[in-house]
Amino acid sequence: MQYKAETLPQQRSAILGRISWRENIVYICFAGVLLFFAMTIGDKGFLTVSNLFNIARTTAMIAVISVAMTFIISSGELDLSVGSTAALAALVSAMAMQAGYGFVGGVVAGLLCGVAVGLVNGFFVTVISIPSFLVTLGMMQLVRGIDMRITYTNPVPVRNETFDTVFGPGSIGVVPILFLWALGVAIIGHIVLRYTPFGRQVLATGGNRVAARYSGINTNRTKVLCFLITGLGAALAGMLWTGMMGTARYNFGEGAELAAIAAVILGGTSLFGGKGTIVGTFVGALLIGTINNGLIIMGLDVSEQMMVAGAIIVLAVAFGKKPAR
Amino acid sequence: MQTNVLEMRDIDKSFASNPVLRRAGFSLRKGECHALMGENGAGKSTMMKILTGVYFRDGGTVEIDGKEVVFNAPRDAENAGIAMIFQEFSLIPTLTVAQNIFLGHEPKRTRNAFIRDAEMVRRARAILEEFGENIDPRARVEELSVGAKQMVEIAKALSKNARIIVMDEPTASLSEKEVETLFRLVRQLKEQGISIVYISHRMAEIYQICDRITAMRDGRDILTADTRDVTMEDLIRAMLGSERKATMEWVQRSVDTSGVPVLEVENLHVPGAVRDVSFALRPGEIVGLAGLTGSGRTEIVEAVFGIRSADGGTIKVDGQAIRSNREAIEAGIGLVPEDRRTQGLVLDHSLKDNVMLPNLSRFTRKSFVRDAAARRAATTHIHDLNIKSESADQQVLLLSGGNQQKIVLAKWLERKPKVLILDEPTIGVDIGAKADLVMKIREIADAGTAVLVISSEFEELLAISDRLLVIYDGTLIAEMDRQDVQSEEALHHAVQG
Repeated sequence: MQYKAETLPQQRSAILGRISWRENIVYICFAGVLLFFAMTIGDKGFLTVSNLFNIARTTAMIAVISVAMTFIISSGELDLSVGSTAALAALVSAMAMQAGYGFVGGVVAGLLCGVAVGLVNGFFVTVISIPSFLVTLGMMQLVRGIDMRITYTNPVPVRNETFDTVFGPGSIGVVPILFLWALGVAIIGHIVLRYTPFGRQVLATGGNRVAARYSGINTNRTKVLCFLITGLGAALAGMLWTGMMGTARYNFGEGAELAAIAAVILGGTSLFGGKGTIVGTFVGALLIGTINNGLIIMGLDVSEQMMVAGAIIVLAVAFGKKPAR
Repeated sequence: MQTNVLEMRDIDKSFASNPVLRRAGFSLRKGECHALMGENGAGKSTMMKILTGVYFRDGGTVEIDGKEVVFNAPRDAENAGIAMIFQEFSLIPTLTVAQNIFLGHEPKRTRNAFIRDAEMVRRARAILEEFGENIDPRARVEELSVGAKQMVEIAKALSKNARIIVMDEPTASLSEKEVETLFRLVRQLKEQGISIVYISHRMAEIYQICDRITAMRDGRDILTADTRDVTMEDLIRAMLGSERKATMEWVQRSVDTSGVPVLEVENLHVPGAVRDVSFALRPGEIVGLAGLTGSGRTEIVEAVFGIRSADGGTIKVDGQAIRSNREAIEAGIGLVPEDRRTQGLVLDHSLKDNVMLPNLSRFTRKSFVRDAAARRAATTHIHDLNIKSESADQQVLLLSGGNQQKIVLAKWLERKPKVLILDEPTIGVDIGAKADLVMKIREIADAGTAVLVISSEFEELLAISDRLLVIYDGTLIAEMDRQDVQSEEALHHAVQG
């Protein structure tokens, strides 16, 4: 420790050393990407208001999941089951509404799916002490299997006006409802993580679980709550997907877990826990959505989009690293 | 006239115009064990890092066998026969003992393409057997005890033909028995003509094993002498300066400790560790819990704190039974745990956030955390405890062991505890911070808190305790007043059962 203390004066002397690249790279990147697309494809429709809101709309689901994912990653765990949970919630809520339980019944049924998966994940991670990577990897498969079985992979259409209004593709003024959901979730998430005792407990648990325990924090309870948050976040995202499409499908949210993890890490949250920022996550999710949208307008096909988006994520995190001493 | 294998003269070193070493000197004879002592920040580590080629000196000379040497990289020092054994071992847990010993210089065949496994195991076994250690070269390092890991670390140094071995706090996490084994090995190394630099804060060990002592303060070597010519008094004075030395002596406290017990422990049982232990603490008294490592001391205090489950007995604070960690904390028990880095602190977080952690409910208003209030509280503790930190927002990872320990203490002081338990509060803490901690412990008790202290350093235990509980093999075997303990030796004798 003393060794590190000795290098401190040198660090301080550099003015740039005070700016954390790791924490701010996402904003720099977002600005850079917007600028790049504005210059190259600004005249091909990228810069139109409708396109920008289109980005906001299509990014909403990943943004919601990413906000929830920030909590679980900050607590030192991971949740890979969010994508299939989103689909489960989408399907179950759609089926409940089809069966005549109405809007409230459908939404409650969908959210309960998230609660159920969260509790199962939390139980195996805390009580049975299995690493969350393995538990949620298994749950990812298992729940996706359930998604396929309960629908025989058929789509489940939703014909409920209230649902269409609340979760649908519409707008209030020019602002898409889906984006308002994402923004609302992000604001609540930011307040909870940054300004409440629970947020501190999450960060302390992720920073050093043992020390948190010796400080009187019930770390198992904290982790289970974080899994409930990802479960609920995924469930909400699933219903937003249904709302956008008008139909629930078993393959909703495929790959969403990876996009969300990328958004969280790009945003400046530590993959190892203890440090998290919802604002960074939200911008990270928008960044990923913007890149995908821009590349489509540029005329790249899916394979090219994937290659470029992947490369940008790796490079952004690489540039965001602390300069080597 | 003995020859010096190592001679460091007039070493200067500054970090960003902040001098750390000022014309410091250090010499080492062939086959001696030479203690290097001093507070953290006195310059010991920097001195050794210059010796091992990690840092480059600003001025002065380093001579090995009378010839001046210049080390530009750790590799140069290694080639010159200098090895360092770190506190946190540099072994790879998943590799075998032999693979670790020869890591980076494995015996090879066929134009250096393939490792000669059998040869490596044979040579590893030869080194280990030479110092009478029964360690299987094929065992994985993660399966070994701490003591055995250290042996492997030393074997690694010997496999590179080290002639000077620097040991940084080698006994910090060893049991009593492992310490004996280490000392036997040190003597053996000395007979082979290998010189040892022994860095430690533990006085008793220094007197047991070292031939000479060098004490540093403020980047200078203050004193170098044969161990038998230096009294402990002289040594402490050299390291602390005379004015700060006084705190480490026993003082009769004038606090009335005859009140009603605040903590009562009856017939405590912890599975596999503690049997039938009963004791009580009164407000204002400082009670020392003496015992060997592994005697059940830590288990007792963790059970009292409610973080380790007991299978029998009662724990009461002010007559109210405590059944969980939550109840213990709410009733006013605080625990400064044994290992501050893993149990005491979230190292990546700020000083303020750490102090806040057990006090979240107190720093919450209308379900929001009050950071500004926590920052003010933390700043008060920084002044009160003399914590050397830039601000309350500084990451605790960057602070020295002594300052980190003070932060762990601050976490609980913020709760104004009725019962404060400290498990090895001064381990790995430099002597200046140690004096600060001792003074603070007395101050806390004077203000009416009941304090229970565990320490392996009996000198310190005798300096602060009003009363001593002696634990042996999970049971309480003696309870004595400070006045009835004649000497440190008497206490050493008592804990042996």
